[in-house]
Amino acid sequence: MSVARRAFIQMSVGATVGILFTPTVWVALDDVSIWTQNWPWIPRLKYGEVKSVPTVSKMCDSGCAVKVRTCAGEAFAVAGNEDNPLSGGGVCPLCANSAQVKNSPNRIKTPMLNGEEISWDKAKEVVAEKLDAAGSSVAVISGDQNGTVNEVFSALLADKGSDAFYMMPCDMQAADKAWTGLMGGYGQIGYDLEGADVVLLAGADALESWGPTVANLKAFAANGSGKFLFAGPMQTKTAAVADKWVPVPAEGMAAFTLGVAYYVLQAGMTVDVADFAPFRAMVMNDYSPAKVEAATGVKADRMAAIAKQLLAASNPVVVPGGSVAAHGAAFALNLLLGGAMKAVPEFGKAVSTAMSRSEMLNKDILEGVNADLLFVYEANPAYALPEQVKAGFTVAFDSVNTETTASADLVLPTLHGFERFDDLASPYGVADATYSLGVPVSKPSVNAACAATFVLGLADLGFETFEEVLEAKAEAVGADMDALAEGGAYVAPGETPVAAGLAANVLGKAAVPVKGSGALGLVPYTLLNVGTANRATTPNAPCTISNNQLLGDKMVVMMNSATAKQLGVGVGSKVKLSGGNGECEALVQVFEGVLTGAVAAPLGMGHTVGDEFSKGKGDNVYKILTVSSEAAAGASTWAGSTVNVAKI
Amino acid sequence: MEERRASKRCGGVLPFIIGFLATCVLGWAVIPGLFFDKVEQPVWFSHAVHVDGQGMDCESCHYFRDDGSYAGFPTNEVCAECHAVDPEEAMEAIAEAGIDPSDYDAIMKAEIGAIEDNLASGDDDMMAAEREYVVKYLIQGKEVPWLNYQFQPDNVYFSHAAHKDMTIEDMAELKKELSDVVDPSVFEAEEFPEQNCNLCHMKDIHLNDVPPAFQRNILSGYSKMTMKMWKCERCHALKGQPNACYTCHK
Amino acid sequence: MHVKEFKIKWGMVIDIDKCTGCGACMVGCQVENNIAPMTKSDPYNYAQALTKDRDDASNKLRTLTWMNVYELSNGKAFPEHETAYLPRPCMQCGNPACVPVCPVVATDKNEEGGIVSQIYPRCIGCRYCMAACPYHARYFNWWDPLWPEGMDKGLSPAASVRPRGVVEKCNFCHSRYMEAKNQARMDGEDPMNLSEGAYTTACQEICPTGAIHFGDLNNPEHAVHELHKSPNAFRLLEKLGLSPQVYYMSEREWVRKQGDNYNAGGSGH
Repeated sequence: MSVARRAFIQMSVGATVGILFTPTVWVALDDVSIWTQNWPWIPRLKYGEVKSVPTVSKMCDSGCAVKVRTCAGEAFAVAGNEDNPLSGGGVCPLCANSAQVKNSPNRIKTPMLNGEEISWDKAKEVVAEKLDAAGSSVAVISGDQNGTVNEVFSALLADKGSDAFYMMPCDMQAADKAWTGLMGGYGQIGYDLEGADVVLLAGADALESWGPTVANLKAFAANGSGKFLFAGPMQTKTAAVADKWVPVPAEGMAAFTLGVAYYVLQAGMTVDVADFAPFRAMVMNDYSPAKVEAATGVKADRMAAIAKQLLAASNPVVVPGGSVAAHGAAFALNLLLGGAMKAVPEFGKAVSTAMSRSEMLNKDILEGVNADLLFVYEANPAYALPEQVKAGFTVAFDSVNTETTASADLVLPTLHGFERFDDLASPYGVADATYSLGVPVSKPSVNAACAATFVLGLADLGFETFEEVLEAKAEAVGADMDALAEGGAYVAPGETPVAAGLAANVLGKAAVPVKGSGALGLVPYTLLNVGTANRATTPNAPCTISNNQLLGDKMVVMMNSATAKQLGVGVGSKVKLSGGNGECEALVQVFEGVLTGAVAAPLGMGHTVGDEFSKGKGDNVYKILTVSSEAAAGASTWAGSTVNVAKI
Repeated sequence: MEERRASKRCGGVLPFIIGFLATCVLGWAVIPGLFFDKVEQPVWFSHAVHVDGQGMDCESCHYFRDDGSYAGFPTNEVCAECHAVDPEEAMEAIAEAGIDPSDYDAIMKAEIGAIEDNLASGDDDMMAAEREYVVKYLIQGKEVPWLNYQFQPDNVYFSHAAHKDMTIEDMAELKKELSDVVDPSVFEAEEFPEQNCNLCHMKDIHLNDVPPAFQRNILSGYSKMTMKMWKCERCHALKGQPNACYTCHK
Repeated sequence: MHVKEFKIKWGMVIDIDKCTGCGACMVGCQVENNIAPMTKSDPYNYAQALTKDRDDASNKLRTLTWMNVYELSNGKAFPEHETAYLPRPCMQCGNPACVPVCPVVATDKNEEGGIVSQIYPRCIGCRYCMAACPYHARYFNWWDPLWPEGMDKGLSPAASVRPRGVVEKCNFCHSRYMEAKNQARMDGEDPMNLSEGAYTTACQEICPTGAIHFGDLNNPEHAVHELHKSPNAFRLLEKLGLSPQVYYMSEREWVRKQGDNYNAGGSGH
């Protein structure tokens, strides 16, 4: 026994020593170490030809001209399109993440009727039936500000004898109401930010969220010698790079602009319009610097200095943001100064029965929508305007799940921007008429379809597919479809703006600051990485959202130290903001770039539907905005919203 | 007792030697082979048929793209230049025949005209392989998951462009130093081929008819032919090329 | 202290006066370099009741932001207040603090061009380098990367995916450097003398205001060669002697002062 045991041990020792004289152990160790470098749950990369394919991305309100980077045919990243003036090589933070959104599990995968999956044929049947039953009580809400898809939807309305076309609230609408509505002007207002030598951004957060943001940023960068002044209630990101920030409350923007106009008029500037004399008299009497200072808190010498700068400039421009009155006042001031404001002619229509852009902007969604049948196209009114929109039957078109698709009766998945034909016709703010086309880059990854093509199947609008509509559009624009598909834009220069009048009697009344009854002014602001009214933040963007907007799952609101002291709160205090018909919870951050007596809150958070990147993150500031009627201008605005802040 | 123990200890050399020799033999001759699984390529691809038979150049399928990247395995797009089966037409024909498009065997058996009429092969075996490729990959719009004998992991960046001007003739001067890195027979040819592929890739693969099985390491998953870092480094050092980490890693 | 010099010195000059802090560079960087979105729940974790949630993007101590935009404040009260935004990639220091502390030589500065390398399979996750880096440019993978279902099919071919437990950082989109050299070789040009714009980083490419300038600091034909000598140019914490290859520019004096850490008592964060 003992011998065998001993021999066995000896043999084992021999075997162990022996194996060490072979490569086995060392090779195995090497292989094991390599094994630990390639865990099976770590995704492997795919390789192939890398291409950059031009198209357009409509994640942000104005849309970006982009190049989609693909590897072996699969989109993985977004780069700018240097050949397109809307991009100049840049991309906004929202569109920069568009390829990831395309592959997101939040995509709507198939048509859904009241939560049940249905086929596209069935969906068409349902909509056709509802359309018959609704008669002319049909409405459309579009989240697209500049696409030809709106022509298709408005032509459907025209076919049904309805004019209920609504766009989500935007500065383009206020601009159109002021320019076309009040002043009888022609075309869409544009601003030559690159050519201007003094730019007064009167409420337009042009370098962060307003207008064609990327084109604005490019123009700002290219404009080496121009001075940029930002007037607004908060030191936005635009203000961070502007030469000067002029704190002006949002509801006082029109009065402030007229206050500047006072000095310009005093310097003898005129406009050749019928109501120039009453306009001059109105400004000189009612908007003297002293009166404006009393109403808005902006010092008279501040306005004088700005007026002096504008007068000394050879090509100044004032860019408004906010209410219709603020837009009207800025347009009047621009006409007085004769600078870099442009009138951009509208491109010809593809669908003859469609509305013009101005007609599309005519209806005010803030005043409420009520229809038997409502189509919502890539807009999120259930999130941003929960109280205004009512309908018997709602059909929501979108590529991802939102509050609106969750509450809609019929949900129809649209193709992602990189899977479809789309276009960008003169986004509001561009100085020249600009037309860009987007072509499909990727194959559809879900059972989605083109919304416009679906609509074309509901009524005889003269086209079978949206691609045909876009061909007709390109022809109407006078552009070459092939050149457009390669990413170039068709550009026609903006014209000198001509107005029929300055709307003296309306502006005089509408420019008076009207503020709510809450204790603090509410300064809602938009950051593209946080999201817009229609689009929530994207998968990679939450890392970019700072502690000044979101801390954990709590929204952060900002106020200056004087306001905080007045309220008895400090950094990190938990507060409840109540305004309008709602409430929001937030943490306080002290930021000295907010007007005293105001609290700045980020729009675009607090989603209740969507992916984990936006759902349950922060609170929805749209709930606490107050809609006030701009009676004189026949419009409504969120400017002048106030809130009460309570420590909790 | 003391003595007995000592003598036993002495006599224990034999079992020790037996154990030692047994594992030595196993460790040199048997175990290394156990580290590898043999995996066949997804379809039979014969270089000989394409190069010798059809007179194709290497560059027809393996070429530099304009951006300097290297198209290693050809995509369906390249294959379809000759294997001209129209996927849409084929799929329609399959649907007409009432066959499930994912039932490959049924499609292959059904002898669909849209496929059969466009097959280029001469004999039955080749035809079967071509049909398999067309049915399983080309008309399905799926790329063939070829197994790469020279597999490298994602953290390695290899530039073919950087190595394209090397010649076997130049490298032959270093054949002694590189005897562990490059198959020595590569340097023994009388006339060196124009291309330098043999330095790292399977020797004379263009003459191969039945591709050898891919030998997958059961632990690391790499190919038996995967060049390890020390090999890259040795050659770089001998050629006076940098061996900085980022020369090859990403 | 020894500063490593190379014939080519890839560097950035970032114009703070042009940066609006929009975040496009950060998104572009994450996409290019396969940084997974931060997700709280792990659908593949079958023992969720027993384990803690992962961190989401709100926890800025756990996010991986190779490119990170900081907000600067001049520290004054309303209305004298000013802000600025400072994008912070890896500084690719001439004399990096992270390299000598690495016990396994997973990070090194040894390649022509002066980009500090980070080799993930070699890294043992000790994080000495993170402690050493005064710019907080290095990040530790506290979690395995996890793309929501379906999103991993659109990965960038440019960077290998890192597992939990290793440190990573900006490398000036190094595989774009490799690609630029390949392109040069194809075009019969000298890969060691790339023209301006042949090699760009994702953040530079995507920046809408062109605030980020990138090129060879040693090459007089590249814009950064002149820009980094501008009187308004400065480097962060220059007095530490790490000799970063990333420069900043601002006409605002308070910004330049904060860059060099003279802001004792200031509230820049």
